[in-house]
Amino acid sequence: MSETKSESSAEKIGAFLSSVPSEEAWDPLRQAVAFSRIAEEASTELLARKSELAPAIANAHGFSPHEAERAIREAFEPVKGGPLLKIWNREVAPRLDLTMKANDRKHFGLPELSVIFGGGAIPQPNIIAILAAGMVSRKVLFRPSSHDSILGPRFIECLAARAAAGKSSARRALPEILAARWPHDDATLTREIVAQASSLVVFGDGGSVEELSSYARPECQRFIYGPRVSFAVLDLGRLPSLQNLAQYAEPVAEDIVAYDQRGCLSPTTLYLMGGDAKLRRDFVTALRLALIARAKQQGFAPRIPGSTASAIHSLRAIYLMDGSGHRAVFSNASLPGWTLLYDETDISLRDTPGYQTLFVCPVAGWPELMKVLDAAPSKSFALQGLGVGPDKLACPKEYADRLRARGLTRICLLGQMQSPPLEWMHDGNPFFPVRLGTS
Amino acid sequence: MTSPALDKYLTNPDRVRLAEKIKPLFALTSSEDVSDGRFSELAMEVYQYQFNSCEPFRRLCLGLGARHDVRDWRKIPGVPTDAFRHYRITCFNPALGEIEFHTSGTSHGKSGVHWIPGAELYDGAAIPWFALHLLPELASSGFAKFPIRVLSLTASPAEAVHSSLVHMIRATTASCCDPDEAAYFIRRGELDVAALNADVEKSVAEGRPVLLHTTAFSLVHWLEALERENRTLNLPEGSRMMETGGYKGRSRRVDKRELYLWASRRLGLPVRVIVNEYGMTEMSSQFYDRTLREDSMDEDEARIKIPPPWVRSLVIDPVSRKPVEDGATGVLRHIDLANLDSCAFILTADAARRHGNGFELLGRLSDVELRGCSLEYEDLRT
Repeated sequence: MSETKSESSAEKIGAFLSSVPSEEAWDPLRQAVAFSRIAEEASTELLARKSELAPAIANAHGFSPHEAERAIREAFEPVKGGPLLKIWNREVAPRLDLTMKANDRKHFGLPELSVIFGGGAIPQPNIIAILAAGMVSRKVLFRPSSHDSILGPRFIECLAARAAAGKSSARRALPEILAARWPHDDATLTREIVAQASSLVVFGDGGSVEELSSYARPECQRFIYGPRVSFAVLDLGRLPSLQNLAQYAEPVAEDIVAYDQRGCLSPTTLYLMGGDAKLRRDFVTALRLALIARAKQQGFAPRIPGSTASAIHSLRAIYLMDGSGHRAVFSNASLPGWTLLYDETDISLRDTPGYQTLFVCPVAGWPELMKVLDAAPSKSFALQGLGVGPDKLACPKEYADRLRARGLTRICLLGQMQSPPLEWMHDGNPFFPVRLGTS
Repeated sequence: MTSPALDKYLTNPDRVRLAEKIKPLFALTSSEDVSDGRFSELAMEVYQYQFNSCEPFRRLCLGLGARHDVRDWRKIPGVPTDAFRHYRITCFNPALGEIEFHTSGTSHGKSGVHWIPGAELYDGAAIPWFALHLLPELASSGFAKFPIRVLSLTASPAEAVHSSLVHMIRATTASCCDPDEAAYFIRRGELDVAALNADVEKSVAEGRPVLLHTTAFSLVHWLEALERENRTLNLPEGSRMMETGGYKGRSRRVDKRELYLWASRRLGLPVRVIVNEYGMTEMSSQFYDRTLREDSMDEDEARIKIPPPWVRSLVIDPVSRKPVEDGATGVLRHIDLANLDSCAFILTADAARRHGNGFELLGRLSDVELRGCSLEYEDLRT
């Protein structure tokens, strides 16, 4: 890890791309062990500086202070205890011939250069991409998104400091990592960088992915993280008791509040199965109370993008204008705040502007829900996660299998949607940015 | 010939009284001609009329705590333009209406509809304001019709029966120019570049000025075609252009200033005669650059849009909903009294910078639900 910078000019990027990492004292296992160690140390250091970093994260990402701390915690907590090496041992090591000599490293099929285009509202996936790329690549170039200019570069700075403090033999085993931003419209530089990548990780929309992909060599492995939608199902008919609906509302509130509902694992629609109209309304009331309590306790994002605020106001207004009695809006008195949109007339899978805005719809059962999901355009509504309650049996295996076949990557209990395991196959991608079986 | 039921609505004394108060405003040329007090009085009367006649609007007002006796028109809730996709925002039975304007298709596939009972107020508002900004010489020329050929890079009225833009072009052409000479060049959804070039060249040969109506994306298509053929058309003196709208994902996006310079080079038009129009299906009134109307003004200043006398526009903070300070940016709210039969109080998803009582249009708020004005990539959440 000879060079790590948070700012870089085209010259620095050029120097980074043209540098040849030392092969002395290097092999994949040595790299994995050394990188895993400094990644843990760097994570521990940033966790210790959580309170200091949180205000900047809150400001940059538009999170409430509470959610900013969550962003730091959930980015680095999972790295403690050596899980990276465990995943490496399980997924990478069995496919490598570790008896090879070090100078045969090109034959291991691991990436020489991984280029990561960061993105999204939540820092954690970017951090995981850096971690995973650093475990297997000889060089990693990370371009933070404009939304996430803090945690990724800061993490890389910490990694560099740890690497510099280590023994020289360990240093030689480590990958080179550079965090750098360059102008978005500098297509020449972007093309030059991507053309050299053996592994390309992109968080972005269809247009940018297509453009970046077109710059890459055919043999470059691509790992794309795009728009995805998650939803939740609560089977009211399976509730063991109707006495305390709050205990079932609380996990839903947790999933909506987590990261101010801005992750791809945040549910946008909650489908209520079973029960009658009164029970559904009672549950929505319980959910409303749970959100009020959290709002009082945790506060809310102080800086919400104008376009999002406008979209939420518009949704609230549209529900207020309904006179059918089949739609209702429950919300905080003013923005920013949570918004529940109860809707019996439109149960299609929909996206929301985020910031704790949730559609709540009744659905007769899984057959009807599958029809609803099938009707959603798969390009706009690629599925990511499903939270179920009150227990996992609320989603029968037959439907879980069908949802996975449709692209769903995670099924979990309500309340845990935003806490996937480290090795979760985000967007269906493997944890490490390398497809060993096909390389 | 209107139906008896529509006649009954149109002759409703409350509606007649209001319409008679609003129509004289259409003859005025400056918002300063209508004092704040006069506008406020009219806005409050229209509010009470619509509160009592337009049920979805009434529910919105009550839901937001605004009753029929609100005292400040600035505090009257605005109906989001997206609501036109969900509800019938009218004060009359829309089945009786003579005209319905549809928003362009969206990724959700459901268009919004703006029903109006007839063209009286719509055309009454649109024609003089258009003439003032695109044909400012008309008033002093002594012509009943301005001698200019209208060439429209849009579909024809027969092909686009629900387009408010095409309706406006047809109405202004009929009133101010020679409609028999007008031509429309979007045919079966495609810009007929060959026919357009032929017509323009004919005008060039005859030395007859043309008035071009175009959307931004049609203009880009045309200019790209001219670019490919390395052709330049030197439009006769007196020619001008009304440009409107976004790109709707149908052409590459070009910055407006760059687009106008490009058009100027390829068409031989001075940039100041390229006038941007800002309008929307949900409103009966339009806004224009004043570059042509106020010939001597600084161009940047003249691209600040000033509402017509019967409209007030507020740039509001999208979170607090309060008007922003001068020079600050926010989202546009319009109070369009010409929308007497639907809802005068419109909340848009358009971003603008406030300049006194006017505004500089900045475009669409990026991650608001797509409505068709500018089909950009949605902001993605991963």
